[in-house]
Amino acid sequence: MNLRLSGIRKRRGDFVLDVPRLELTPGERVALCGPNGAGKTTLLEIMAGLLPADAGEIRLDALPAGHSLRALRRRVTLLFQEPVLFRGSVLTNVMFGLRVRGLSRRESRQKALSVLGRVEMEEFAERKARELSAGEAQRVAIARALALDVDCILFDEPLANLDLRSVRIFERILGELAETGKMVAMAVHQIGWVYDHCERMLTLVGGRVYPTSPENIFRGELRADGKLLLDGIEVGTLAGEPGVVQVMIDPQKVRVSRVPEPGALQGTVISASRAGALTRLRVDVGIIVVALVAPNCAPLPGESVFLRVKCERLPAP
Amino acid sequence: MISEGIGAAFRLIASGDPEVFSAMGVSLKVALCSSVIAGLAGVPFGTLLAVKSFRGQGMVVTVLNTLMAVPTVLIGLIVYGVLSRRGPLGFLELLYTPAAMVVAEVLLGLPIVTALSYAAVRSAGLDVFKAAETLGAGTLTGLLVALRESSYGVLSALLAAFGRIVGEVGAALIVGGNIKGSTRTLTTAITLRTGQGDFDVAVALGIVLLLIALAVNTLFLAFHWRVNR
Repeated sequence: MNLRLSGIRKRRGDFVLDVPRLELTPGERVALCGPNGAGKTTLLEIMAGLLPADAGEIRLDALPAGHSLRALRRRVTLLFQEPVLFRGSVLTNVMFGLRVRGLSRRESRQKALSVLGRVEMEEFAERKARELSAGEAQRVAIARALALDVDCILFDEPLANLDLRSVRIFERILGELAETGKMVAMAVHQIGWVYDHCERMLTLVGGRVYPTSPENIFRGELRADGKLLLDGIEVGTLAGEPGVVQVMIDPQKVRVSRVPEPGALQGTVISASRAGALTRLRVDVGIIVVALVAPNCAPLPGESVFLRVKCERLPAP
Repeated sequence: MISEGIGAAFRLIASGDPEVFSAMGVSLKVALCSSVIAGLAGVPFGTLLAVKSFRGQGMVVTVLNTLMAVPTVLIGLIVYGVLSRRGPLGFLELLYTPAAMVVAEVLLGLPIVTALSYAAVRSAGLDVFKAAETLGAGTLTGLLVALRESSYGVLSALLAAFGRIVGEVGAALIVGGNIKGSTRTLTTAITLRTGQGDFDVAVALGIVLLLIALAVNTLFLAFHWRVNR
């Protein structure tokens, strides 16, 4: 049961969001990274059925073709960066979506109390929702979404309001969602965190989606002789029309060596950190390149290394 | 003169002056009736305008804001033209009746209720409407939730419209005709008494009008606080 976006286009003033194809699969946690104003929230709102696209289609396998946005909203939900809770108690907030779906007051109450337990907020059930701290409110918003048992949950900057305890609870919930085959997509800025908790990272720049870390997207110049220069550093060759180009370097395809190799770029490791099962290196070769390597052969910060990078040309912004 | 007016106002109320009580009754009846009709039309329209986006939305809001400043005499003239014997709705024979005054006052109150409801829901209810949508609510449920969140602002919109209606004189005079016992309101009575040189009675009537406005505002706000405690 996948969520598929095809040919999505949305114009907002001068900004155009253009997503030719994007697919979420069950149990997958996808991170949407990118600078502010890149279109992450707009994309999430379109995926949630809140904002109609100017062109294109969103298909959820569980729904018949040509389904309405309202039908999509019954199977997909979105949590905003600033949690919006209704006037009333925490419990009535969590019961809201269940009541909308026609569940009885008693059933809704039981289910709401159960999900409040999952986010460790059951003792807050009768408290006024508007009197909670930002972190507590975000946990209630998460409980409200979990109660719906939808196929896909979207988060817009979920870590923004969470304290350390709430982050741990959120990470546990993400794991549970993946185990139960739910689709999750989230707009996040914390790239180190993404490596640990998401299966896939996408980057939005200027309304376009690229399948890589935002750290490895560069603008450069492709010369007539095929040589590619990024910030004046020659990084290799590239086919295609010369001129200003946008390229990406897949961090997993960067080859890191301690000994010189023909055509390799010499640089210094700035930092090394854990990224899921791999180690994430930031290497200064005149530009900062991120590489993902196996932990057992990872160089240490300060070490001199040689990188062989493979650049892929991206559509012009 | 003002202090004499305050004293006279209480004496007029205490003495049960039939002219004052009749004008009070007409003022209240016309203003409440017009405010309710303007509210029934303006609140849903303003709420919908706040939560839905469409081309030309900004223009609609600008027109509504402009209409809030429309002179009451102009509304009176337009309604007079429509309801007079030669007018398109002259056959209804509504001119110089309380019904004609209600028509004019609804036209006066509608832009106020709509524009202020729009502003209230836009600032307090839009996020809530979107949150309700993310939870699977339809448009109607979303609107009700947004309205509940913006209830204080919407109530203020209704009270603002009531205040403008109960205190206006131009339209009431033109389409009502200031007929004693039928279309004479407190404001048209004040105009008449001022013209006759009865200044202290005119001031007293004005104070009665203010007391009515105070009572209605207090009643509605107390109701709101009780419901939303």
